[in-house]
Amino acid sequence: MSEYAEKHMPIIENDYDPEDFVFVQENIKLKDKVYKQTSFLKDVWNNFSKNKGAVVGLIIISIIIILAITGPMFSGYKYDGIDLSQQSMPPHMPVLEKIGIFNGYERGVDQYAAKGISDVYHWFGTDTNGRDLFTRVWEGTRISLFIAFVAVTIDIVIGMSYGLISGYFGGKVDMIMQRFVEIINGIPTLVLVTLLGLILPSGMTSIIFALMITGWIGMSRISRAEVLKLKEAEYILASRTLGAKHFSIIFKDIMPNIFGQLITMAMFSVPSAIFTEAYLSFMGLGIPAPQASLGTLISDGYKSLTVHPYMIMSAITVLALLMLSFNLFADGLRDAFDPNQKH
Amino acid sequence: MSKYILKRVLISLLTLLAIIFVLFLMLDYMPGSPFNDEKLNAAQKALLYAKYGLDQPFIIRFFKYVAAVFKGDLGLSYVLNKNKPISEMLAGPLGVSIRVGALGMLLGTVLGLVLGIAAALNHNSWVDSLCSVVSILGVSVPAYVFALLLAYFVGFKMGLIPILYSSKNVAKSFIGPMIALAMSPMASVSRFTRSEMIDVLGSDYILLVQAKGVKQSDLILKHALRNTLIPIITIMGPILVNLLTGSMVVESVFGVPGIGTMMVTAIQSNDYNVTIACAFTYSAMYIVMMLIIDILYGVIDPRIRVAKEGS
Repeated sequence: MSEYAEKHMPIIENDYDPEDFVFVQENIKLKDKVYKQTSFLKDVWNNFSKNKGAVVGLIIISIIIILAITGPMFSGYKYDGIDLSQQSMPPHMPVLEKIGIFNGYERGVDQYAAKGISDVYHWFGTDTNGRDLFTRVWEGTRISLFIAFVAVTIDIVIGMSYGLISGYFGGKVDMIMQRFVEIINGIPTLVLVTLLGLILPSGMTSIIFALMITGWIGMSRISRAEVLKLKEAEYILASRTLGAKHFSIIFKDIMPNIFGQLITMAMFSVPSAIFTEAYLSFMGLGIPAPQASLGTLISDGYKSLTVHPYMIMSAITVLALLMLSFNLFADGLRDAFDPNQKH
Repeated sequence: MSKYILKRVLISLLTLLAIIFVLFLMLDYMPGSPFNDEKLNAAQKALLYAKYGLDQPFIIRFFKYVAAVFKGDLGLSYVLNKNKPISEMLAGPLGVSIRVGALGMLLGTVLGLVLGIAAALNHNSWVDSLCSVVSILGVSVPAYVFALLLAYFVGFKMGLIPILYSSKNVAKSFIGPMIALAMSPMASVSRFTRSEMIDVLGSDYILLVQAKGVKQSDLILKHALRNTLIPIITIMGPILVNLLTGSMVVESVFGVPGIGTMMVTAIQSNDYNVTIACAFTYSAMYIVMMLIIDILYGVIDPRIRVAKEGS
């Protein structure tokens, strides 16, 4: 053996033993396993519930929605009940005050005791007009959610029909419809919404309208992409061969198959609608007083941010929680509807 | 390639024209008139209308407006700065806005890349979880909420950054808006980098590079990162949109004298011409950036070009 080989050849020892060569599954009888049949929705739920973040999101959303509905009822105050004797009171909660938070202290003074109203409880405090913030925050959440849901529902209807028609017919129709989308899409949403907010009378309908004008494009994109995939499928061909009309192919055969994606997209749109609404309010184009939305509460609280920070904190917390949990929920939903597609 | 670019440019120009039309339409239908002074009588109003050319028919005014816009003349301010050309008023704020936006973008992208790579290398560890938490927070919490929290806790409570912009200390005043604006790009970039990097690291060519015995740092920076970066360009569009929208409110929270603040002031004082001009500037910036991204992406990835030419 040459010197080189001696130096570089590894010395092989008995580094294996007979157990390395045992046959696998030698003593196990292989059988077909029969799984229980599950429905589509159950599949979705099974996939969804594995995603912890999404479940947490769903729970938080449910709690917020319940509070938004019942909060103004059990608080004992009205959202527009002005009480000038209780202006700018800090948060004061019955049980939590014992452990030193939400105890009505601001700058080291118990503001409630100072006014001789220690038995009055404003859970989130009051605003500069003495209105109870707990009531107003949940009232505002309700209005924000309502605006978002209505806007998104309209978006789904318009966007889905537009996308389905554009994708299904293809050719010139598609070309023209897509150029139109491209041009609308070229205008930054917030600029358009701001300008609409300026010319329309302020109020809920105007905000929903402004959100609708720009929101449907995302939906139409998704449904168009899905139609392009599906319209070559064999079951569509079969349907056409049997003489189905375009209308029934589009809305009866294709539409049910893209519903999962659309619902996911809708859940992603809800937080962005809430954000846009909050943004409009921040610009001073939101819901007129005395009604409140999360956005108007934030922009009101912002004015006294350094003096009474609690005024803005409750609304900001709810807004951030809401947007966070909707995003988590939608993430989970997307994976649940389409487990093959990893993002 | 040139056909693709030409098509993109044409569509952008059309969009720009459509925007000018929409803006002009809105300008026309804005409630009230620019001359709301009750002391003016009808004759004086007519004189003012004639002076500003508001008495001519819609179509003529529109084409005059388009011609003027392309010459860079955005009209006169009626309220904020009486009779001052808006293009002069915009010049300063535009520079400030672009600087703040670019700084935020830069900070966000760099942090996002670092975070994303760290998460991908330590897949399923606490770094990975941290990255997910940061990205979900950054995506879902709006920039102006960050701005408000920063202004209160870091600015007011700790006194580390100025709450309001001061022209004496520009560098320090930029820190707050910059961080607030960086959150959303950071979140999207880190999220995307992470998933792309995990994909790339699992591919065959990386195995080959590893087999050749390339150093770990070279492997990531020279071989893996390049392929990760290409798809990230696709998300630059949405990121820029977020940045633009974020900047409008973030600027006014910190009082930065940019286009966003100017637009808010113009809205609140009913100066329609200035509002429209700000909106136009935003849209134009947006369109130009989208155009650049589209072309860039076409250059980098020929498949996109072919797909878009086909459709």
